Amino acid sequence: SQAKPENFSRLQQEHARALKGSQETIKKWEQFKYDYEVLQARLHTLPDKLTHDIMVPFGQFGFMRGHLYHTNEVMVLLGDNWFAQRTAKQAVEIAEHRKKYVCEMLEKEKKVMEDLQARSSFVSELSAAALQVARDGFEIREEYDAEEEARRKESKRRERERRGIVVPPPRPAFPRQTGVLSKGQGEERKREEGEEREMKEGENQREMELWAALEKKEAEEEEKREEGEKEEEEEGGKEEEEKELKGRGSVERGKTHQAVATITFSHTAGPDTGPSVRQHKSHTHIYIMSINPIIIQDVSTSGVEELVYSTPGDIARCHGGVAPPRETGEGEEGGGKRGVRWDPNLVRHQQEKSVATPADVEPLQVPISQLVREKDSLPPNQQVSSRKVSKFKLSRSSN
Amino acid sequence: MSNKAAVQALQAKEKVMQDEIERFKKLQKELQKFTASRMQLDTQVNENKTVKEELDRLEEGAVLYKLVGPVLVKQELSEAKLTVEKRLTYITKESERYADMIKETQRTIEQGTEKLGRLQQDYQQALMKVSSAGR
Repeated sequence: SQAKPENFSRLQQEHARALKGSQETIKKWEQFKYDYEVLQARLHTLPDKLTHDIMVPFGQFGFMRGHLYHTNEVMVLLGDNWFAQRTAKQAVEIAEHRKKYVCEMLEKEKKVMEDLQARSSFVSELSAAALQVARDGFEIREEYDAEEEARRKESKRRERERRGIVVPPPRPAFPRQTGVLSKGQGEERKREEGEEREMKEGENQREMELWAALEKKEAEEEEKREEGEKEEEEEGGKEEEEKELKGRGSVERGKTHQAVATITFSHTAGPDTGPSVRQHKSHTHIYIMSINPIIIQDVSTSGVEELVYSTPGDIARCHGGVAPPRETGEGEEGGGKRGVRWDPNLVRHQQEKSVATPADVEPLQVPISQLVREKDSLPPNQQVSSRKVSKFKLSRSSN
Repeated sequence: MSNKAAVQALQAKEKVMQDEIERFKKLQKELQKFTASRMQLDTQVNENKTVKEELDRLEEGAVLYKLVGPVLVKQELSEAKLTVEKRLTYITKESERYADMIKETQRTIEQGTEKLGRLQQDYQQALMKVSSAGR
């Protein structure tokens, strides 16, 4: 960035120099003015006497006594080697004219100096501000106007319809979910007021609540379905900025997954639209999938046909060309939609379809061996148990 | 053989370049002179304008002198006025002439710079050829 202290100091140096030059010019003109005034005074007193006794300057250093005659006659230099003989009074007039000219020049120069001063003060203010911005950043505030937003959304929607852009159906609104999201509604109202601050607070609160719910579910799940647990769920829960609340194993396939939290910005929420309207369209979803996506360790030992994904591309390939779109996807309903939108839940659901998943709340009845397609792949010491043993624990211990 | 030819070519190019450089320098000096004299003429124009104003302010029969060398020569007002006017027109004309000449010189200088640039490129290429041929 250009806002460095050195650049500003350089600019200010130049300004100071220009200012000094201007000041000197002003001084010069003022000196001229003063000279003319003295001259006029002299011309005034000169014709008072017929002769004056004076000390005549002689050469470079000396003076000589002398007399000044013809006190009323003044030889005036008009310029360009032209002289005119004038009376003292007339000479005074000439001097007056010249003084006027000098005054004009003086005024001009003073204006120039003022201008320079204004410029340099502006620069110093600007430099202070710019340096601060370079250090701390610049806070961007957007005012939220509810009506304006509603209008804008309408026009956008009309525009989309006109162009025939297909938009996925709305995700059901949050209020249908648990009490957590009634908070979300309260949030929206707050947002309607356009207070970013409050929204952030609301968001934080909701985040915390979500985390709390998450942790609770995690604890439950740990007891129930350790086998079915995949690392991604753990990871998914623990990713820092993860706003994604995955439907954790409670795969009710008929149900829509509403658990994807969205980060909404104040300008997108509309007050009049209410929860029934497709809100998500204008929301920006930050939808962070696991950074280490869906990796199941120790697949070889467990032998379960669980896919190892190293990139989302793998996932896509494994599931028949369902490629993740470039923009963030939306949490679609479980069971996948149209193959266009990327949804990690999708992957898991499809997988879990093929595997007998236990009911939600009940502990796992089925031994792990039944969940496994190739029973032989299990090492003998693992094949037996009807015990609920976590694959991972085993694998860890075997390591 | 090719080496010798390359060297010769290089020398020829060098000479051409030197000539061009000298011409360029001359042009620049001329430009400086013109600008200086033009400034001088400008001051003279201003001065004569002031004199004209003063003369206009003078009443009839005022005593007027012109300094010619060490001599103050008495002049008449009308004569003086005429002289000053003539001088004024002359100086303005001169100033304009100089302005045109300055523009001309500037243009030639620009062309010269371009030419010089090209020559320099040629020279560099020839140099490279020589050095590569010499290997």
